[in-house]
Amino acid sequence: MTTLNQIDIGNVLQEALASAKNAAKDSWPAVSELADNIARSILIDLEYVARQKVLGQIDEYGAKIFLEDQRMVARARLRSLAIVTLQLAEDIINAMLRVFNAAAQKALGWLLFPVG
Amino acid sequence: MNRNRSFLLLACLVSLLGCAAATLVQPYDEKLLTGSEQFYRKAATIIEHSKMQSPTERPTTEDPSHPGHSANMENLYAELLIDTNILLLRALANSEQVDTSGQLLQSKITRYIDNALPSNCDNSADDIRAEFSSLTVKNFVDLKCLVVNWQAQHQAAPGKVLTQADWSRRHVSLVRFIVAIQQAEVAKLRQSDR
Repeated sequence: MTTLNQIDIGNVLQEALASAKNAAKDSWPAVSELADNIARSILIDLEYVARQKVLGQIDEYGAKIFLEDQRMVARARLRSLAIVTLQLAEDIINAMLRVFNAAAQKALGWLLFPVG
Repeated sequence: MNRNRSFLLLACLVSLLGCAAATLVQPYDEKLLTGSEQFYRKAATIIEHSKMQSPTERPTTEDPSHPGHSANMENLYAELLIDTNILLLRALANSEQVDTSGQLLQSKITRYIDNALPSNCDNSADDIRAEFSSLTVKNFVDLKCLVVNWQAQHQAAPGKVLTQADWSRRHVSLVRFIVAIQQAEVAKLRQSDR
């Protein structure tokens, strides 16, 4: 495997991938749970309105305002899913950058780009 | 050949390092987490109180003296709107910390969501016309819109009074909304812990 100033590039890549997987492992459950909630809740809401209508416990106005609110809730949930996913992407990128930065510093002897 | 490959790999490394640390979402803010919890507490109290003053059946005539009449609840809606504005301003303070790549991604996601699920508010809840509003900011814009729309629904209701069931369903919406906001904020907390 290619070495550069005694740094094995293959090892650096493996370490970066392991670092990325670790970053993903912490955040993936949150992403998965949010995605699940969004999918299920739409069906649950429609079932709920249908059931309530049969029982005579919801009228047209009640159903209208409830479903209007659920549209805003769905928007928030989609955004939150996106935030959690972007956070995951950020974690992965920064985990890999830290590994590469450390390797480059060692290989080249320079601190090129400090990572926050 | 080996020297060329080494140079190529080094070039790849350097280009990867050409970007600084990524900031794709605005950082965790404890005040948004605790603030949204406080908002829930206040809104849930108002909902419960309003529910107790509301009828089980939808009225057919209007009685302005009814405690559940929309005119008698204007101050409560106004208080909730102020609280959403406080959260919105707080979210906006950190919005610019998102880097260029993050802003591009977030703007695309916002456009997608707006096309797929248009807001109930037609920007009437969005007083802040910043050049870039993060997804976090947009969530609080929508929280404000939820309250704006609640007031409009109340004013448009038959007899301008909501039923107990209407208030119960509002509580469901409130819980779901706040949970979504908090899930996003907590995900950032895991990053800032590191």
